[in-house]
Amino acid sequence: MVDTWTFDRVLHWLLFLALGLFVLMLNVLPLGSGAPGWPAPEFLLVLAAGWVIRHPEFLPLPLFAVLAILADFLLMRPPGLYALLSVLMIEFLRSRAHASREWPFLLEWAIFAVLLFGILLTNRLFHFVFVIQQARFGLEMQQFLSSVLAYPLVVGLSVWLFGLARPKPGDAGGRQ
Amino acid sequence: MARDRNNSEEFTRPIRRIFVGAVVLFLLLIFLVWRIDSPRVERLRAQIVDQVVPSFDWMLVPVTRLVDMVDAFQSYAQLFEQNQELRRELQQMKAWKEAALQLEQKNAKLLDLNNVRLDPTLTYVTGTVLADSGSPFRQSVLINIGARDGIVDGWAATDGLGLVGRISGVGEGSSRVLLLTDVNSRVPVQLQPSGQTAILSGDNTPTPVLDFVDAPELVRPGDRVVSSGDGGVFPPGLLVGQVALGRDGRLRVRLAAEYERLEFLRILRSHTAERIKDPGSLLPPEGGVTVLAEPVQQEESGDG
Repeated sequence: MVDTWTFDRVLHWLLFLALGLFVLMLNVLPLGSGAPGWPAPEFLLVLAAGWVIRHPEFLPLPLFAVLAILADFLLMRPPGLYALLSVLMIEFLRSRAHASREWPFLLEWAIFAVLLFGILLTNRLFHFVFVIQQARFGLEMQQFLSSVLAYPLVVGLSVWLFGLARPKPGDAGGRQ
Repeated sequence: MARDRNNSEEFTRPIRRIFVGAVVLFLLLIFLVWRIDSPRVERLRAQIVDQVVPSFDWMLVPVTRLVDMVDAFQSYAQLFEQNQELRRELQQMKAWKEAALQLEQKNAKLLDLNNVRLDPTLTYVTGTVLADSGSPFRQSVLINIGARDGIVDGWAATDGLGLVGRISGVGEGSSRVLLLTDVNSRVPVQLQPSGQTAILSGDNTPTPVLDFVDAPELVRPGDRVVSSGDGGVFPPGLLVGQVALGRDGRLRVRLAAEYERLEFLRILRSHTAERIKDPGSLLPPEGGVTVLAEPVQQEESGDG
């Protein structure tokens, strides 16, 4: 019993690691490079938020922190800053994981959007305080919008492909 | 069973808090170190990218191929029109080629008459584009040649026709090319035929802005833009693009390089000319020469 439970967990950790690396590579792919169009969503953060709300035990903090710092290095962002903010966001969602079982999806989506917007503003504030060159606000808003729009898609795929449905309030003992 | 777990959760919560705090502090520390000693962390970044990205080559290649195939399939639709267009262009090009040949001969004759010494010819290394920056706020690409192939920071990258950017960040087997469209890119250029110099500064749009133009009234949309070689960053005379008037009324440059499909990049080995490394001793006092000479003599006597 315990064995299958641990096995399930480790399997999902590995799955998240693979998915995280895959979406990072998706961001880095040389498609239409140099021609700035509509920015791609931040898949890593979207994926992590969707997972941590559904099954916090499938996304241990060290795994996410390592992926986030790797993303900072690969995507040419100031290393550590965005990883720090996204770790705070994921931990906030994790601490609300029990309450979030009863949230309807729309509320969950709205909370994700609000948190992401908070990250965006804090990130800009940090850039301002530490005198780092800022991107245009409009472009960051575009990326924010595409991330928010990608959220239901990514969550839907996770539920459909990897059976990551939320445990219902009733079956407390089940997977938890 | 469920109560058990709740108890253990209550017990581990403070430890968990401390752990999260430690992770957050660690990340903050990385950020602060980067802010204080940027070059060292950027070198670390180049090494990390150098390790990570090429190892995912097997994954990058099929996806890129797939998208390219879809692109190619779409272009089948316009095959006939494209063919017609190409034929027309070919006719024009033949005329231009004739003119160019005549001009080349004339130029060679004139150079011979004037006894002009030309710059050492540029040689180049060609690399394939591995990955782009992955972020809409940074315009750069990663190529598969690096310090192993003798790439040095600051060299110019072209796509065979027009300037693309310059090397910024070299790893062992990969290096990053900062594109002209990036916010951090500033390149001294010359406008022809008016001969004015300007600074081409990227602003995250496909058409970078021309700054510091002396007399904008002399510049017309369609004028050629070439690198001026000021500051010794780029070799002079590399084609950059054409002047265009932006919608906001500013002078912009439509780049000659095909930014839509950057596949192979040529890195020009441009620093073969002499470099002045020591700005402090350019104007020594009269007696300074003997002081400089002394240690050399001592060393020689020590050897003998």
